[in-house]
Amino acid sequence: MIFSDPQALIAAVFARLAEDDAGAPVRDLLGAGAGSIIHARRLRDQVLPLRPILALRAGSQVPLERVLNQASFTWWVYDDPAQDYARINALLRPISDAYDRRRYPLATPTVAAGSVQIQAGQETEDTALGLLVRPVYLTIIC
Amino acid sequence: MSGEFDNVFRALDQLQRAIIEAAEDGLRQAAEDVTAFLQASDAYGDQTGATRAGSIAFVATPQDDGSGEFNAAYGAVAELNPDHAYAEEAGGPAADEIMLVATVPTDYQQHLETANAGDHATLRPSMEALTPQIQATWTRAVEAKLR
Repeated sequence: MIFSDPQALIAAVFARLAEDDAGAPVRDLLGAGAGSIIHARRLRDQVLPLRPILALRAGSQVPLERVLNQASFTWWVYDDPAQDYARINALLRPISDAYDRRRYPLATPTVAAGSVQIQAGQETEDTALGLLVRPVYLTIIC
Repeated sequence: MSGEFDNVFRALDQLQRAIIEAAEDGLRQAAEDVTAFLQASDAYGDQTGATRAGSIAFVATPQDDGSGEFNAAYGAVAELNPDHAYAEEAGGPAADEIMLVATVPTDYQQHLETANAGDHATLRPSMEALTPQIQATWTRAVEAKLR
């Protein structure tokens, strides 16, 4: 079994929204642009960026065959309860567009992503943070 | 002529039943694997043992909705953390469905799955990690039946 380069893939998935041109429409809808895009571990920081926020959590990376892996990521899209889910839901399409492999292939020097499946989870509340949230799941074959 | 077609349809029915039975067998094996994976998780900060004891995956079919397995898990949680055992009516599979259900019958599992971007989640990450294995297990079971 051969793993893809996990750190390179995490960096590419993060940079797609935080830095790449493909993610510019997403950044335009966030509280502080790229400053509102963080890794999930930073949610424990005392001061969070301006909402809406995107927080990335890298999930499993599972070998499918000898040369293929399935990597899972979740973008958690957060906003203040006073905003209801309007701004969260407005972000779903731009996030999906940014990972459209035909327009913006996801590749690093060590990882080439094949298919990218994207799925939004249900509207819910993160009671630990007191924020509304909706997860966006990415499944990448690489 | 119609007798020949009757034989063909009968054979197809038998084949369909065999495939469904094999798929159920494969999913039951997969459910055991998922349960073991969930119960081995250290993602949650288990304080009472209830989450670990109550973590379960089972197969639900139109004939057997898995309530026996669910009730056993619920009982384990009720014993270890009685104030937080939780069940709700989820509905069973449709007539042509077989479901693999992974759950924890506590009233705080949803919180664990979501809080701090799923920092202590077990169900979703486990199913993401195991989906290829689940597919392989039940595919092998069906293939074996068709040989």
